[in-house]
Amino acid sequence: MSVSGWIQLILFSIILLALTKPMGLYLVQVLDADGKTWLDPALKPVERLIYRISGIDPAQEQDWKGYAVSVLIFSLVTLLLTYVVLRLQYFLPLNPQSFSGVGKDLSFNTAASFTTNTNWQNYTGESTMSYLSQMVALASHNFFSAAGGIAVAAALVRGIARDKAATLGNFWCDLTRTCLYLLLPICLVFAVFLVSQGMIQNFSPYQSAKVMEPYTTQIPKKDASGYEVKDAQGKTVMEEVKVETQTIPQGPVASQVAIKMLGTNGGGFFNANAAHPFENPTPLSNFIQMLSIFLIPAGLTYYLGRLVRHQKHGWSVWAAMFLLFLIGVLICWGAESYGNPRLTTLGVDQSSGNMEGKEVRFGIFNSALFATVTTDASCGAVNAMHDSFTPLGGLVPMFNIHLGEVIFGGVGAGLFGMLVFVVLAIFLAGLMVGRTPEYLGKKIESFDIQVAALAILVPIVFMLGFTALAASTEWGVAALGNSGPHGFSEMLYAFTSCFGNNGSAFAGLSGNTPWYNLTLGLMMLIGRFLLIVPVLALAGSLGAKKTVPESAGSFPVSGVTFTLLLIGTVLIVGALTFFPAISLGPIVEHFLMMNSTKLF
Amino acid sequence: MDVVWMAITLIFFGVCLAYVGFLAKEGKTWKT
Repeated sequence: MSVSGWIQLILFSIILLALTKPMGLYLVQVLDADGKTWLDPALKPVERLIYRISGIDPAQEQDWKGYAVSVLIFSLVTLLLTYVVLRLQYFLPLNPQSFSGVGKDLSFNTAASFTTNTNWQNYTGESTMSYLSQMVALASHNFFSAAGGIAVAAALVRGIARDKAATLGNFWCDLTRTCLYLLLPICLVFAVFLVSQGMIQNFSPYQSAKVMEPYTTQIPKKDASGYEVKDAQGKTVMEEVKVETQTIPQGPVASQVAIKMLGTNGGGFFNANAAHPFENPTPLSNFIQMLSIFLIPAGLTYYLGRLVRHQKHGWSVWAAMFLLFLIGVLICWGAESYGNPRLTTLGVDQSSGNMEGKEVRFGIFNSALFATVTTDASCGAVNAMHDSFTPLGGLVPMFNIHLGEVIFGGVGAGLFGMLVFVVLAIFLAGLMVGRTPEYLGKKIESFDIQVAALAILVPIVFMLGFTALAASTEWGVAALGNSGPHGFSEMLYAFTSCFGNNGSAFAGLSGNTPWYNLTLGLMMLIGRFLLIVPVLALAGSLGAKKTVPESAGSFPVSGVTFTLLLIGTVLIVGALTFFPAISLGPIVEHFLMMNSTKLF
Repeated sequence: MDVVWMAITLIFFGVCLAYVGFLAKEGKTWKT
């Protein structure tokens, strides 16, 4: 664990802390229909025009049911539009490579993926998607899905903050203002910064270059539909090819990467994602990209404190998130620095840690920090291959998602996920001391606990259920790149990542098969919308309650006790739910690595 | 067969809308 790593970690933490308040204050204005920002002179006319064209009355607020229906209808329509664009991309403009239409099942999977802010990619961007598909079908979702998550978080915070209120705000107004005043301006500046670092932004056709040393290699054979051909035993059929030229992809990368990181979307323009030099050119671009993932989620904790008029509560939630982040990054960094002793016995130098699957430009610490940040949040961008991490190093990103990605989390989704845990923690504290649980003056009653439990437990049942289904079927096992516990980890990680709307992968799994496209696509939809609906029901229930003044008997929702209780609740729920599954994967693989000669 | 994938999508969102209705009903039940 290097000195430079410690310095970067401290710098990262200090800058994140420093940015939390300004971002939170800005969010207060953006998420208020009458809020004032310094961009009003330029953007207010645009906002009014959007309302006029789409018939939105921003002053007309919605109850939780209206808000939820709006979220669902908007998501359904944009998902179907994305599906159509992907299917028809061959006939649409901005396709200099003349890519054919995307397959049916892959189009469904991709449309579900980007609608849900997951950005799981069962395709290689540079060899599948036209520029139009990247920009219109995919990048637009990066804005909409991020804004949708922030809107739902704002609705929940309003529910907590308001007294006997029937409404939670206007979804269409929240969506419009978040895109216009928050995401677009920051992304514009961010994209220009990324271009300054060497990131490309063009519409040029792909370039071709002769390689210095031609070589022969084996690649999976594909049929006319683009699927890998399997033999009678279910193994991938390989074919030999001689490589003499290299294709250098081009495209509007910077504009897509800016929102990909800021909106915690994570879908790479290139298959190698943030490990590709065009997608992450310098150490500075790497550092700023990591910070941008946490920027809005951290600011939302300040927004929470400001709206409920209890700023210490917002900071306590921030502290709980930060401590969980710190634990994760230290474990991951330590495991990757230690390396793989089995490789040492094979004569591979492990003195600088486990460098397999890592970009040499970034090294151990920046790979571990990136992996932790991207899975604390529901980003899913990667600058190293998680599949090549040591078992414990790979366990950290997987377990971060198991915890619900509430450690700063996805934009909006992290906060509303954490607030569900807050309600649960207060309920448990109430049980322990024998008092009616009360959150910021709102009594927590049976319906609130019901929907909180539904938000936490129902999607988990689907996630573990689908993993079990894949593990026990031929199509599930055939897609694995590894056997044994590591193969199980690949499968568990895939369903975990899709359920958590993360999108990162243990890339050994070949997910582009009809069954995986279907099941992972459904998993993403379930993980997003079967969580949002009960969260909005909770918001509606809390908003309708009368706020009673805090008394000496009220459970304090700030300070060390509350922070530790919140951390404990998150860890216990995650550990109790997922320990059996992770025991079969990374934990058993770790002990096999340490005590046997078997490698997976 | 595009219809199949669109139908799966529509059915899923139909279930979500029914879930909204179910929780709205449950909320009223527990309030009374």
